[in-house]
This record gives sequence, structure tokens and C-alpha cells, in this order.
Amino acid sequence: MEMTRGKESRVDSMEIVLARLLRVGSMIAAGLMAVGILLMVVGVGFGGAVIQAGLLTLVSTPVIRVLAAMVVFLRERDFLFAGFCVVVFVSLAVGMVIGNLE
Amino acid sequence: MGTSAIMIFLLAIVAGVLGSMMGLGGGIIIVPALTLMFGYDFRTAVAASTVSVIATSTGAAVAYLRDRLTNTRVAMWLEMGTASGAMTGAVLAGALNAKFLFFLFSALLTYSAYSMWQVRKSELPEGVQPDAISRRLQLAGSYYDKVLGRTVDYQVTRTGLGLFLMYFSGAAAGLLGIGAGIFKVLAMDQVMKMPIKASTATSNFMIGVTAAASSVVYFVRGDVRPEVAGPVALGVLGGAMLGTRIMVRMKGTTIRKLFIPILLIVAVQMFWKGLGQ
Repeated sequence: MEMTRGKESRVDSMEIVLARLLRVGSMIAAGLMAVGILLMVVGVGFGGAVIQAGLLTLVSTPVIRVLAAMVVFLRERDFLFAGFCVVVFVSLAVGMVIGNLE
Repeated sequence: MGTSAIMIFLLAIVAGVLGSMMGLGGGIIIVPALTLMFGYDFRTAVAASTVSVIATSTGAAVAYLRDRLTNTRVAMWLEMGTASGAMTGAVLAGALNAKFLFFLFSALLTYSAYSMWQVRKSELPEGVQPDAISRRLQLAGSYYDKVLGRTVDYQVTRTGLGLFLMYFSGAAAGLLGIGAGIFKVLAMDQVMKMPIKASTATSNFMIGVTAAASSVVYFVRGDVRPEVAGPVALGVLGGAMLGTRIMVRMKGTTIRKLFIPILLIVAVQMFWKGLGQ
């Protein structure tokens, strides 16, 4: 019983942390993109740059999510899954570098 | 900017709704729409589509995490496969035989459509025995199903084969121009025997990560044009949030029935591209 309860709360905290992070990321991105589009429609010069900032926020959210998951796993002393997050993050970083070399 | 931006925005909402329900990125809608209907070049369309994959993933994940439909442990396990596969794909880009891969994946998708058709009436997988890795990693999950009105507890099996499939499809994804979600859903639903709703929700959660890595390349190249990618991403984000509300009220069998034609369309696309190689 005790173990099951421990597992439940652990899963909960992971999901709450990640959901909160993804929500903040998507809200900031959506806000910037909406403002940027409006500025562009009105004809303000830097509208495109504001949209671009929104797009960059959107793109970095999932990458930050991998790091956030790693921190949560570390805090729960689940070193195996924290290691999985490291593998994912390193693969992404190497893939990005190789992609940009070509 | 004007009427076409509004049209792109509306179309993106539809892509977001569908993508979030099916666990897919929505590239099969965005890319043809931008190139054929709006006359944008292929690179701009692919860049906007890749960014929209992240929008689908992020927009839908919030709700699916709260509903406990996303299996975060399975996601982390499989992400190792997709991410390292994508890395391998970037290294091997020139060395892979594209024609062979197109035909192979076309056959794989056709077969998957057939095996999904066979289980079209089953709402939830039954009698699934977890394998050793699944037990060790505690991959079993549970969620409350609003349609069935009860909590669904499920086991996960064939975790090794699932990881291998993710690696393989991740490596081929860049070359084939697909793989945002279709293979992730298949691996979880058909191979690892997870419930279809947990499969699409978990796929949704995962697709943002690999797309984020590949989109950096498009940003650097200058393919991400804000006047196109902005309305697309914003529409998809809204659509994805809406799609999650619809999906949790759908039966698993309905999602499956919608998934089969998508598999066949992509299979035909792959075959066609293979012929052109």
C-alpha cells in the first residue's frame, strides 16, 4: 500500500510540474505571436521580430521540458530516468549541431 | 498578410484539432495546404509545419498531462529512441537508400492499417502481460476515461521492440519527411499494447521534442518566415487546445477508425515518393 501511494504522488508531481511549464511556455509564445501579427497587420516594422520571438519561445519549451523532467527525476532520486533525460538532451544537442553543419 | 493570413490561421486551427486528437503533428495538412493552396515554396512550408508540430505538442500536452492520459515514463523511454535515431539520421543522411526506405515504410504503414482494422472494435487491450523492462521501469499507467466513466489501468509490453522502432523511424524521419507522430502512435498502440488514447496523448507529448531539434536548423537557414509560421503556430496552438477537449470525449474505437485512413494516405504518399526517387 505504502509503495503504491508513494508512486502515485511521484507521478502526480511530475505531471503537474510539466503541465505548468508547458502552459507558461505556450501562453508567452501565443501572446508574443498574437501581438506580432497585430503589429504586422497594422504595418509596424518590428512585428515580424515579435512573432519570431514568440516562435523561438515555442521551440525552446519542449527542450526546457526535457531538462525540467530531469530535475524532477533527480529530486525523486530516480537516477535511471534522469539518465534517460540526459541521453535525450545530448542526442538533441548533437543532432542540432550536425544539422547546422550541413 | 490579410485574407490569406486569416485563411492560413483557420486552416491551422483544423490541423491543430486533428493533430492533437490523433497524436500527429499535422504536417500532412499544413505542408500541402501551404504549397498547393497558398503557393509557398516547400522549404517555407516544411519549416512552418515543423514549428506547428511543437505547437500541437505543447498546446495539447497541458490538458493530457492533467487528465493523466500522457504516460511520461513511457515518453522518456521512447524519446531516447527518437532523439538518438534522429541524430543517427543526420549523420547518415547521404548514405541511406531513400527509394528502399520509402517502399519499406509504405509497406509497414499498409500492414499497420490492416492490423488496426482487425482490432477496430476493441476499446481497450486485454490481458497484456508486462515484460521485464516494463516492470523494472514501472511503465504501467492509469487514467480516468470520461467516456467509459471509469479508471483504466493498463500494462505496457514489448518495450525493447518499441524503443528499436522509435530509433529506426527516428533515423529515417528526416529523409522521409514524416514521422512526427504516426510511428509513435503505432509503436505504443500496436507493439506495446497501450490503450489508443494513452498512445495518442503520449505521442503528442513526445513529438515536440524532436521537432524542436530539427526546427533550429530551419531557423538558422532563415526558412522560418514569421508572416507564415506565426499564424500557423498560433492557429495550431488554439486548435490543439480545442482538440484535447474533443478527444477525451471520444471512444477509443472512433479514434482508431479515424487513424486507419490516415495510415493509408501516408502509405500511398510514401509509395508515390519512392517511385519518384
